[in-house]
Amino acid sequence: MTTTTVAPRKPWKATKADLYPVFGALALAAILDYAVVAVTPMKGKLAYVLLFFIFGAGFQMALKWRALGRRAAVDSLAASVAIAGAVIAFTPVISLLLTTIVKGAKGIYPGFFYHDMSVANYQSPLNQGGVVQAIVGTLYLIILATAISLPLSILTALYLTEIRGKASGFIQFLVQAMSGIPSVVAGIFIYSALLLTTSLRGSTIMAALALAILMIPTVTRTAQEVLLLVPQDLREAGLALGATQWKTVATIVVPAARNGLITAVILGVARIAGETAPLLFTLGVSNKINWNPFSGGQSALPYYVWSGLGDGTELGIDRAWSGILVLLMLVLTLFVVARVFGTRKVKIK
Amino acid sequence: METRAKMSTENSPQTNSLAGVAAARVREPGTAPLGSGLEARGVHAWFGSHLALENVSLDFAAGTVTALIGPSGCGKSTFIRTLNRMHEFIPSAAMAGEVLLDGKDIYAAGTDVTRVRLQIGMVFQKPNPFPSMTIGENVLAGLKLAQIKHDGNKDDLLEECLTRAGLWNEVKDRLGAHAGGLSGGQQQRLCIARSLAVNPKVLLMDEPCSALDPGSTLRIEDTISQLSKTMTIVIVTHNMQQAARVSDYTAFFLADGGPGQMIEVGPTNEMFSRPKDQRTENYVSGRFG
Repeated sequence: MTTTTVAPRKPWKATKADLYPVFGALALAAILDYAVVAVTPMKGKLAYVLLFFIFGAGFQMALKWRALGRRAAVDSLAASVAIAGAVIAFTPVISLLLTTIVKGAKGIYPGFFYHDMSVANYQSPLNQGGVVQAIVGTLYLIILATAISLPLSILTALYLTEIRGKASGFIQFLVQAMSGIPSVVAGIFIYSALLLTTSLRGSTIMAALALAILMIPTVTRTAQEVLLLVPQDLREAGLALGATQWKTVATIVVPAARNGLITAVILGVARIAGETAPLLFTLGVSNKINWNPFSGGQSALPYYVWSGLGDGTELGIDRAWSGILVLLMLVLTLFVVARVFGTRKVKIK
Repeated sequence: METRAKMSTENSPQTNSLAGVAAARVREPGTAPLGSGLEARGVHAWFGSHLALENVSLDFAAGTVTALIGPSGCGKSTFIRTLNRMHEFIPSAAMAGEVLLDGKDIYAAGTDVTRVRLQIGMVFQKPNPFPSMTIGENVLAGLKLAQIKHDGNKDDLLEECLTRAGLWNEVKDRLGAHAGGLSGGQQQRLCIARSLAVNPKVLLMDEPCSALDPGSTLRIEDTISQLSKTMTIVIVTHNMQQAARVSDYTAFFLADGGPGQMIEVGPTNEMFSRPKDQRTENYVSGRFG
């Protein structure tokens, strides 16, 4: 067998020589932008951003027009608009993240992760107390709410996509309607249905039930869409081998939709992880770790943040920011773990 | 050994008949004034670090039909996709070499890739008419997509394209119907008509008949013969009778455990009657692959 000495190239990728005019045009746009803002009545950050976009997109269009003609220029304008849309959409998100990191970092010290709030209150100096009880509480809530809602959601989605029973239309309607429930209503429902009428007291499991009500429609809808994407051919192939419907669904359809189902769970967890309102009526209160999810009050990160803001003092608000930062890190970690362990590696030749 | 000898005798009449079919339609290359055709020079293709196609140099003279044959996974489809820059849509893809259309490298810096694909059309393995468009809209979709101003009458162009694709009589009364209602063979001929409307110099066909019944296949082969008077055609096929029936030249590809390579190319009748390479002989006589 001969070995090749030819180097692979990607002639379709922009080369450095292609990029110099692009960056040159952007630099020119920035200079022109600055000059126009300086001499005209248009002032302020918004004027800078808007004019930079107009000049930048205009220059790119002119470059493309010169090189490849009108069609390429219009193409370049569409790309500029898409880029601008993405920038506009992500600016608040990035700003929010940076603000949280900057403000939250103030209250973070190692003890923040292993002290609880029984040794401090919201007005204590920032090197006292911590959120370990709230981290444990939030993890408990996420795990329990997922454990309750995941089987129900997947089974509902399977009923809607695989069994397609007579009640499908009605259940579909209920799932739609449920996704519109305000989160505080879920909390009030559990409070009035279970806590007010019985001797039960607020605990982790009660709050998890309220969160599950919110999680079920999100996971069901997403799981349903994902299951519908599994080609009908695969179901037929399974059935044509003599499999029952249950075996076909369990061994072919669900595994084929696996990555999408993990996305469904991630979206569900994202829906509930930061919820505060349902916890107010159902969680009880604790400033220490409570390892028992079935009795006694519990803490949670959103609840900690809410209390810190409610405290209103400078130290309380600093603590709230740190709580938000920890919550973001926790959720991010969970998502990364779900993706890494949940995604099947597909081998590409 | 005895079995093999027997097989060989059984196969030889078939080989001869294929060569006979091919000999009936030998044509000198470049008889039509269609420019200088398409030339691949030392084309390599990679997916990530995997070399899928190694050093293929092949000329497609203007106005000829070239069939690419070979077993699955030998790089035929990869090669045909490098000819109109569709290869680069695969994220890890890379290539080396040149593809010249009328003497100009389509991979050269500053090339308008949309114009390349306008001149080098493609028909895919699976018929893919646009589902939201009617039959008529599908045929003329290329004009809209490539933003071409058509000087003449659009109805005439519609009729001309559908006639050349051999579909006009079947659909002339329902041009406003949705394309999804057509049969597989009709959909594929609709896709051919669609690619003709923008008047390409070269038409690439990647196993266009593999999902079709023999009747539809025959009609598409007739279409190819008609089209070859006015354009250069490259067709990937697993059907050796088809290669013999429609092509002037045949290229045999093979991936012998390594990257795909072109083993041999020649006039179709020679490739089927007296190939130079033993591996080609084995393949065309049906001894493997």
